[in-house]
Amino acid sequence: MSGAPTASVASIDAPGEREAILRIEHVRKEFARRSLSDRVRGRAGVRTLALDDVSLSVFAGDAIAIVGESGSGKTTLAQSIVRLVDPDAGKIVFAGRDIVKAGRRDLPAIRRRIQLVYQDPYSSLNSALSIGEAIIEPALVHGLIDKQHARRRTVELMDQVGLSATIIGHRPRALSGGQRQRVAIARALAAEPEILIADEAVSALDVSVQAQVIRLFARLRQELGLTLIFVSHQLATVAQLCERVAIMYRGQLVELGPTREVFAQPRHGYTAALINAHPGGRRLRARAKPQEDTAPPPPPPMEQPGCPFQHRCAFVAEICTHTTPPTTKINTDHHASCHVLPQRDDLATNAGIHAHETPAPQPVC
Amino acid sequence: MSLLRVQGLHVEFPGEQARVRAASNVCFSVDRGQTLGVVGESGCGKSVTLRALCGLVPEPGRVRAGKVCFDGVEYEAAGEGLAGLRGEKVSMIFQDPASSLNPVLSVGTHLGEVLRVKLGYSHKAARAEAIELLGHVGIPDPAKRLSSYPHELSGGMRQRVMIAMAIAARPQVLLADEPTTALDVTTQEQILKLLLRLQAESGMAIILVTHDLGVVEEVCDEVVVMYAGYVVERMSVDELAGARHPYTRGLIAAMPQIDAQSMPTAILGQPPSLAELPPGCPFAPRCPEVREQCTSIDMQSLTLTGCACPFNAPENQDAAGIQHEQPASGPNIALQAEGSPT
Repeated sequence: MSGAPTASVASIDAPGEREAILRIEHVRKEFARRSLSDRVRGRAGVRTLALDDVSLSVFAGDAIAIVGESGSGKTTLAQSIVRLVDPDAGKIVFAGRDIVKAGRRDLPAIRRRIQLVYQDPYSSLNSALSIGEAIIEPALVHGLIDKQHARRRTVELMDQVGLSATIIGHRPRALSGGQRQRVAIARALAAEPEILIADEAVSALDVSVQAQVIRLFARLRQELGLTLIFVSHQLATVAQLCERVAIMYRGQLVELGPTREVFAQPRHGYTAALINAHPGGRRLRARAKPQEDTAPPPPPPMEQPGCPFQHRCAFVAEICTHTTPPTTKINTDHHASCHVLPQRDDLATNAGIHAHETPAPQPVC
Repeated sequence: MSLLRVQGLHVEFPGEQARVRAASNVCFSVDRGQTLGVVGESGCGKSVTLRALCGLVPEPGRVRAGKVCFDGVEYEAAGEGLAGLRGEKVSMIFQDPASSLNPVLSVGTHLGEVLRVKLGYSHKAARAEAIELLGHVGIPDPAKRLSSYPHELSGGMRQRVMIAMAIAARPQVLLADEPTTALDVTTQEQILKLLLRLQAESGMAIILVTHDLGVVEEVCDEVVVMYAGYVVERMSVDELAGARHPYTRGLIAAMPQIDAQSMPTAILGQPPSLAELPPGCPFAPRCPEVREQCTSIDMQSLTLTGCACPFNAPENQDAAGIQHEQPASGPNIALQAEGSPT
């Protein structure tokens, strides 16, 4: 959709001369859904562009966050990396190979090296397996260990994630949410991955437990030299854990840069809106203006020209309505796809950013 | 006088070995036009307390004791006593709007049912009122939305429909159980703004259960902190930063900060099982400041002014932390234990 041939955000990101462990280049994924009633009435289905020319480099040992609202494409991006989703176009280069083109034979090896931890530890564990069996299964499947040594390795993994070995024979239902998420992490580590993708891995947990799991991720990263891709909609969590942050909106990467800099000085209207909506620190009551709480009008079709955020942006200019914003380099490793590139002063005067909802998919005809 | 005052509320579930005390001796109150935040970890009795207030404690749980004073009229909480509050007096919205709406009924049917069955509107009047309500909760083109089904709406829109249903009877107290937890941060902001506007217009009181202290800071006037079924601290929102109870301070330290330089600090351990509460203060096993005396604190008979921890209580509580006089009922929240139920 982003018709204009603009350099997308991360094809140009290269902080220093560091080596990228994973290079995502111009990845595109469109989902089409044609329901029964669409077929009966002869209508075209609903098309959603989940990834629109996304490019991003991940550096070895880095912790990078992918942030956005639901429907922004962040989970699709995470799943594309391990080919749970097949991208329509683009390249994902890992260890010299293109994951997008990898065949059935190559995929298991790639998936072993890139492990995914899911959001809901209540549904991601097999309730029929004991904790020990669940944790060691990937190591056995990938032939990393033989059966005699399995128990010792299981205990080692449990220790690594802070689980007591006494629960090795328990079933998941006997465990709390935080413990289950530790099991899910231990299971991912059993495959001895180089990259760990955490898809909203702490969102379902209580705040006190969240803090434990965030610390666990930070420690594992340090101890094992893991590269971490942290998919989240919680800005504060991301701020704790990740040096770099990629902001996604409606399938596009709109801003990319060092977390601290992006959060302190967002240069895209959407990033500014996100940070502005983050609760705490100020009283909504004092700022609430009448009718600012009205739900947004139906979103424009995905084919609409210009910036995808134009309808909600507090800084919208005439150019935003017809021209796809180019990616602007703000400094070496901070880029934003925005015509206006709001400054800190603009943010202060535009307190009432239109915090509209993520639009639902729209019929194309 | 406060609009709603809850005293000594006890909710129990039958367990395998022992009774599970989901809410013990819960006391709080809320004024017209005020918002009370209820915070705590999962399983601390927040939701069940709210459900008890509108007679919706899920089976086989039951309210065992307690009194609710609503606008000067006293209701016995035990048994089905509070179901009568539901509707014009108290109304409730839930966390997950996707699962609280019936997927095979349209928005109009949902609202029409409330208006016709509960409030006695005619078919035609119900339709007009439904359109009015949807417009009131900020849904664009409300007449068209009446024929929409829940799956056709975004999460924020579904929550707006839930709110429209909840305010149909013009309740004086709105119970909101994690209304924005399932929503994106930008949508959350709109829903909170909507609740604040509705409150400003109608003067209804809101009791908001949340685990996000950031949300509390944004919208609440008063806060009660619950742990293992007990209220352990209450304060005005401005006092939150200077919270006294070690559990409240633990929750604050665990909150990730968007601009913080350091990692959040976790509270060690897990909340206790409500079937086997430790003796004395339920937080003692996890408390960084635990002392020998903590296991002998009688949580049932404590009368406290703000903090259930005797070692962190405000100066006006005596050394043992037990205040023998009843504190004066403040305009906002009076948190008084009324002694053990019989």
